[in-house]
Amino acid sequence: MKKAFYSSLSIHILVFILISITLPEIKTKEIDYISVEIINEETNEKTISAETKENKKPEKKIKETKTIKFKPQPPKQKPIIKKENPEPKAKIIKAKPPQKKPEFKIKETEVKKKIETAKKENNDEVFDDMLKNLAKYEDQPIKPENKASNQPKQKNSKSPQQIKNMQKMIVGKIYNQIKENYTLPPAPDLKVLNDITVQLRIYVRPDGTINKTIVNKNSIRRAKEDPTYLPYVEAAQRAIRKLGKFTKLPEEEYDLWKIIDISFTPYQT
Amino acid sequence: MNKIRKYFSKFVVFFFISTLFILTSLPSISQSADKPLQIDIMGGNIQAMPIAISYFSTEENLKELNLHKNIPNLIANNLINSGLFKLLDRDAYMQNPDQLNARPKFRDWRIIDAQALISGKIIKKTEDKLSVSVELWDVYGEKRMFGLSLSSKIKSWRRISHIISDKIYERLTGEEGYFDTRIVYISESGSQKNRIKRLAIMDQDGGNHKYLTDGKSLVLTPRFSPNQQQITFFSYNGIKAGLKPSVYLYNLLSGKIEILGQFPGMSFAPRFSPDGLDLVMSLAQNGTTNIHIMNLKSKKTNQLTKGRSIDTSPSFSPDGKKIVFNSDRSGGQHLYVMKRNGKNAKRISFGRGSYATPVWSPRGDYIAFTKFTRGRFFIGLMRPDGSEERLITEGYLTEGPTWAPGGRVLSFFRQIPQQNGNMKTRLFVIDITGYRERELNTPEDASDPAWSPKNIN
Repeated sequence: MKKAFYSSLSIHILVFILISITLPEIKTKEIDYISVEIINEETNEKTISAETKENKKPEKKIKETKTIKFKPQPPKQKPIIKKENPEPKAKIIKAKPPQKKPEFKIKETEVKKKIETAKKENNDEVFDDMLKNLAKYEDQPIKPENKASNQPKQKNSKSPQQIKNMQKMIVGKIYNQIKENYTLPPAPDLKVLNDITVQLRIYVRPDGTINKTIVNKNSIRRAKEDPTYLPYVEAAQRAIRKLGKFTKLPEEEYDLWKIIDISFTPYQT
Repeated sequence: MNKIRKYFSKFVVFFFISTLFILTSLPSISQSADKPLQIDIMGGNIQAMPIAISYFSTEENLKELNLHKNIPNLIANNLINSGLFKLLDRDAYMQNPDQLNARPKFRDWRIIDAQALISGKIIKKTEDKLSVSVELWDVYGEKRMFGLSLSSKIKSWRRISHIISDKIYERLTGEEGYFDTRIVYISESGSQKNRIKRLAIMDQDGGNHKYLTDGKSLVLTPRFSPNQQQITFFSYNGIKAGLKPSVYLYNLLSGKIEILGQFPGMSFAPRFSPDGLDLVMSLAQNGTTNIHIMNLKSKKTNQLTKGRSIDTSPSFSPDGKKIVFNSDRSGGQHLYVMKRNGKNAKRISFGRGSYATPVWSPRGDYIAFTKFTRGRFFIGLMRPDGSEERLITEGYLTEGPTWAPGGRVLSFFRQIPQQNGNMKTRLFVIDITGYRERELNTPEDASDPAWSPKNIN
């Protein structure tokens, strides 16, 4: 009787330990991202050879590469551009060009849930809803539940207001640095605005160097199916590559910005 | 047996409790993992994409032909004229064409902020034949975006350049290229009283210009067949038919001209159906002008609209199921869409002024039109249901829009008053945003352009 009880107990403990160990695996499977790409300039021969392999199969946009070598970017110089290419003249009534006003928002679980719902329901309507809600976040204090998820480890005790301000400051710095490098692709049409969002995830090192970029699985799938969408994915990737490294981010808050999900929405309604 | 049952029930209870414990502990474990920070980048910088187009490497014996410069120059002109790209100054390039035969040093190109790099090589295959290979590189991504090799006769170097331009444009924008196309138009010369009008054709960039008719007869409204090397046009005096107004079909390959029909009264603006099997046109008979459709094989004509109003300028939707036209049936001149059989005509324009010459985009997403309001002519766009009307350009007399393949660029003509009181008529190209407009070079005055479909040169 006792023997059976102990054996049963030990089996259950074993099962529990096994489940606990494999939990991180379960968690990673939830993430809807694939393929890895190395950002930054690399001079390492191994890295280059990995890239060369990629070139042999240009249709495969992003590949997993294990060799990582970092080097600071060369100083940027202004391009020399021929004057023969004048700026187009504005006409009487024109298509609305994309707005230039920078905006940024923090959204967490709520927005994620909405994105997922958008996949299931009518895309346009749900996206409209999401944009409306995003607008609500504008210039409003970050909700406590949003804060909690991005809250840095409590190394030094800060008031909720301080944490909120810190988050805002970090998001603002990240936004500005990405936006500065993000140029819309050479698209001949002003597309339906809420239809071409590109989602990337980037991993950042404590010194601000962007370690790797992952393009959202759905974005990759759509780029394969729709050649007009591909330039938008490439433009988003180009922005991250051009940036290469974030500056002036508080290192003590590294946990907050070590992984960043970026949604590029080229045209606003 | 009872013992076994007892153990089993205990086991079930224990299993249930432990499972419950695991499930309840799950969220707290997963929550401890780092959550990514969410950033939304709304909008972006708008600028033409900076690209580097190197001269091509070539053999010494080919250098005297200068194709290693002419081909990349023509590609550059095409891409720049689209308004979407800007060419980086070649003096700033740090690698020469021969060095680019190997993998480019991307860092050198990033320094000048080239986002794409085009390199190429020209090889002489036979006495009159050459091979051109081109590669498009993603400078920041450090990868080859595509490679292409073409061989043709040396004299076809312009066509090779246009085809390469199309491929680059398509890869970088995702849209259909329109560089390997031609434009047929009416070339005008002589005084206003004694105007000579000739049918002329040229590449979309103005190259390879030639006249198709000699000017002895008045020609109007040329239109390209969607799938064959044929042009239909209307002639008042007729090329072979004396003074009767007729609709003609011109075969570009053979140079043969065929009369499609001589119609009592006047006929205007013949236009092909998307399958190229029918022509739709307006005929003026007994004081009314109605739209008719004619089968090119049987030459049988059917009247699509009836009534006392003036119905003109019909144009098929790309699927061939609908026709847009303009009519004064509601008083003012407005645009209507009807089924191919002439039924269910619905008005789609409701703005102030007169609407004319509607043309359905090859994509089907827009209808281009001419609008006259407040003493000015405009070229405008609207959705096929009449929504989102936009006027993209204007002028003293601006009309006759025609779509390039891909439906993102259109051509039109504009009369420009001169200081001496005369008028200058020129062709222009504009994209659908309305921001990128340029004049097409023609040897004489030019009007009524019609853009060819792709790949029928």
